[in-house]
Amino acid sequence: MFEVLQNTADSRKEQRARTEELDDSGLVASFLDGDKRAFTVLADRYHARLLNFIYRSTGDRERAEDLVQETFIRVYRHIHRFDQTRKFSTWIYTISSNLAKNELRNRSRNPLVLFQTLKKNWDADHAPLEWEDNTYRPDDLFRKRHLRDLIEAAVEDLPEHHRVVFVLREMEGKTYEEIAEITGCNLGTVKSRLNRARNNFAQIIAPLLD
Amino acid sequence: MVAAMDCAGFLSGYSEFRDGLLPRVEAEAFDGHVASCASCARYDRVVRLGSREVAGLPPIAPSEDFMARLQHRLYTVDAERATSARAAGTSSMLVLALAALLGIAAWGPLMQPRKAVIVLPPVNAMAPQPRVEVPLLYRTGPFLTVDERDVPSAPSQGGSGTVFFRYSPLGSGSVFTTSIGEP
Repeated sequence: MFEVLQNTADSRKEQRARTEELDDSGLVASFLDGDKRAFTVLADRYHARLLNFIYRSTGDRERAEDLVQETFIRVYRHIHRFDQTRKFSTWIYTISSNLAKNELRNRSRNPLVLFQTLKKNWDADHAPLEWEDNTYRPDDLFRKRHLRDLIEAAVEDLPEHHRVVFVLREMEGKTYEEIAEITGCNLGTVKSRLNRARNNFAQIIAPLLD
Repeated sequence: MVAAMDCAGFLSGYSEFRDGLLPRVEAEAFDGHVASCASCARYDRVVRLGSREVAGLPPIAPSEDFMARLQHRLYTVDAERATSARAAGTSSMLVLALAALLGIAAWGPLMQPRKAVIVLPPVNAMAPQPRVEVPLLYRTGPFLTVDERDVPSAPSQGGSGTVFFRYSPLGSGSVFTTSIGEP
């Protein structure tokens, strides 16, 4: 009896391991075949990346988490419509990007959200310093953290269209073609926006890096 | 031979140069311009350092209950789907039942069996002779019999109103015929 249970548990573990080894398209196919676990693996694989992407695009951490949840719900609802000849990552980033775009549009109409963003920054300013590395001197740590904050602020200051393209390229490492598909722009627009975004970014951070 | 690059050309095509998407010859022209122009060299350095800093920004981690909340929401989606499927099934059954009722109401009269109409060929028949009633006046006895079928047609002397009787008294066996109606 114990051996039977042990064998069942082992076979489940093997199946789980096999599912986790699948690539995105394999997971999608597996989920469409009825393996619910495949969707959990997909969510595990993407939730942190999407959270960072949406957070860098919108600047609001809590809201970013809600939007990542919404992204997965939309994927779950419409995965049967997904064209499996395309890249899953591009599709899920497209959904996230659209949600982030809607969020920014709504925020521009609702001044309450601005207060929430200010409050979030206030919290960060009053948080104690974390000692990441003991070999660094406090002034180095402070400088590093200050630079990081300024870089983050510089990214946030970019115009929305430029920021999304910039984040997708610089932080997510997407190709120009993928960015074009995610943002729904043509390749020329992506090149132009990325060039302008880098130019703006350089203007902002140049005094910090000299 | 590539023409000498100016700063505007450098800036407009910088992203592709930075991402290594240019052909070798064009990339060399960009490299040459960076080597010769201090301003563009500074620009290149700032973008490279900035990109490195951006890529090195610490990622934010999802909250601990993120996956649990997601699983709960997915469960809700499944439950909604099941409910809507049941509702759709029920409503489609109702629609079907209504359609069936309407169909029966509309087609019912036509579905009842019709009474067969039998058309027979006309029958040629002779009209029956008019019956002649014997007046009570002449029924004087129980032995008076009148057989109208035996009443001969009116003799030459008889006209209308002439009736012939055959009288048969009991046991006599004598039969005679007389006529009435004539004075």
